[in-house]
Amino acid sequence: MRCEEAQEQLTALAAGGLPTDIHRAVQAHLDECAACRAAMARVDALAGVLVGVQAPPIPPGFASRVMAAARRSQRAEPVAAWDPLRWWRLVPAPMHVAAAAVLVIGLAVGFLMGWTTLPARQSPPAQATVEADPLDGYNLDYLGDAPSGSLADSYLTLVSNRNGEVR
Amino acid sequence: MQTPSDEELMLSVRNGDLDAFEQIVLRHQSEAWRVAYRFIGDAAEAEDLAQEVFLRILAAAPRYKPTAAFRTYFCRVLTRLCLDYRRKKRPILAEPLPEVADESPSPMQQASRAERASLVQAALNALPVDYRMAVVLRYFEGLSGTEMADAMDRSVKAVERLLSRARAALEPQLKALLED
Repeated sequence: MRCEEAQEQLTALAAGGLPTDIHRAVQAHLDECAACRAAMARVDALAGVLVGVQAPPIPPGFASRVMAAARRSQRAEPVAAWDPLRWWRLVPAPMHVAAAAVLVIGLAVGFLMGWTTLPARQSPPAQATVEADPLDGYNLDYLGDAPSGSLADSYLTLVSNRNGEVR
Repeated sequence: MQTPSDEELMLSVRNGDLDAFEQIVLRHQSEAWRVAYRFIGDAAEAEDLAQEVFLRILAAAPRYKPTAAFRTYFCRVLTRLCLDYRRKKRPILAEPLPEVADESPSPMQQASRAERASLVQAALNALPVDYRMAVVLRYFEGLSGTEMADAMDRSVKAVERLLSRARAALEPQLKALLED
């Protein structure tokens, strides 16, 4: 074990928190390395200085002030009697994935069903339109007047030859 | 009647039991105060921060799950609040510590202990926040490497490295005390 590795473990060694194999390795290194033994002595001395300084006393009434603040916060934001998302938070994570998958599959099925049925509903009107006279919708009376500039007049012009005869 | 565990109390807090929450506060207030004070070095700010730790735990209680020991959870909240707090604030000088109650020490002993405490706090305040938190958790709270790693969200090796560097930074600062 290198000195750098050993010295990183000295605090844990002093606290007794090392796994057995690492403890043995560090102790074996200390047995052979005077520099690391000196470092260990400094670790112990520092621990003695720090631990020997007493903590300041907790301010009187601290718990009462905490509880007063806690009660104020509870009054400001009372716990809701009904929490619609509580079940979502309580179910385990795999259930979240399953719920999302069901949602996606359901939406996909609905989309596909709409996609396959929509063209079937639209096709009959398209077939009827191909056979019908496009001018039927204008209710043109062939024996009636076709004033100049009217749609009927335009139609007659279109279907007539230069001599005014309908082609 | 068996005393309820911290985890059992927190499950009651989850259901809105403020009496159970008060038990949690009474059990852990000293630890919260000590860590906050050692870390911040100012009594008023430390009290605010220690209070905030408990209020955060209360606010999160509806989502509490006893997947780990409560103390582990408590240390994690405390550590992260301390680190977030200090990162937002500029470092401050240590204020004189209040006189610590003792068993009839002589005036000379009292002055000596107060001076030692002041020197230690000043040395802590001079450390980078991560080093300081590592020292507080290990030397003052006795957390193991695993507990510190969980509280600080680092690996055990990283925590031990922090402590090693913190020691190297503290030794020159506390030379006078180390030579006593």
